[in-house]
Amino acid sequence: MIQQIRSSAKRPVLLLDAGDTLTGVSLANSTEGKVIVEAMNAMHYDAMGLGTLDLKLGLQVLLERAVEATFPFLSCNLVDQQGEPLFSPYTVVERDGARFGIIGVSARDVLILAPDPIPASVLDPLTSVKQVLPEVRAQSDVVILLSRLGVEEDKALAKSLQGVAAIVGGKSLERTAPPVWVAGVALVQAGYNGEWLGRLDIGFDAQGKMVEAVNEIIALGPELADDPRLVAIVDSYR
Amino acid sequence: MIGRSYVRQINLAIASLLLLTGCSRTNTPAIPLPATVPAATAILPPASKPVAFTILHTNDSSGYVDPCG
Repeated sequence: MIQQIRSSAKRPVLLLDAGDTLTGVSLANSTEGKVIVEAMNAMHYDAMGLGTLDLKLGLQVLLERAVEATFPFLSCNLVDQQGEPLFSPYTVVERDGARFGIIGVSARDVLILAPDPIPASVLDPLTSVKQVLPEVRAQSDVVILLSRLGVEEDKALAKSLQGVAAIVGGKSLERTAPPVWVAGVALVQAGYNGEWLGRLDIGFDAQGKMVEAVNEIIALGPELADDPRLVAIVDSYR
Repeated sequence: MIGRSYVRQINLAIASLLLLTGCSRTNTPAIPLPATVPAATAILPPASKPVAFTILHTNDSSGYVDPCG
């Protein structure tokens, strides 16, 4: 499905995950998220946010997964004891001549499932995003927020931020088609358990005005043929 | 802004489709951007070129590698 959209879209396509991805079911747990990272590498994800089910691996293992991943794990508000970010706060993806700034923000409770006390703390999401936003805007044509705060908190963020086009979220397990609109920002989520893929098409005119925004939720049902490369990756861990 | 009843109708339609088709593809119809929705502030620098793009997004996959179970 992803390949199909990439080849037919005739515009830049980003692939993002809003987190709570690396653990949960048994194969992901027994491989400490390795199978998931390898599959996401094969699908060419551009970035991932971090949730409680990712920090459940513990900081050391999660950092190992981050090294193995060909895409960044993003969080602007998860910091070490010196207040420095443990993961990249943001990334800028250049595609087809356009620059997309993607900022990751974690929920305040992101550490609650961590197996051992982690020498880290979680800063206020809004303050952290506001701090990094000017830097990201300066490097990007479009800014997207990858959020694990849930739709209600995302609404508050959207009202308080200038220059964010969309918030790709998680945690509240919603399927937002059409997007939730707050202060001109499109808030989207695509369900849970890998059963749906969200597709948000956005367009801006030369004045920076949003002229197109359509989100659809695509069910990834059994009628869709498995990608043999992904089957091989999963089977290699069984 | 999209009316609440309109959203409810769409949600009901999605729910009906899911009930009827289970885990099959249930794309919602493409919904054009309502006239009142455009950004409150300019997102792009003035006089930049138009940009159109697609974000494919997932969340809360909880380690599932087999969609639909």
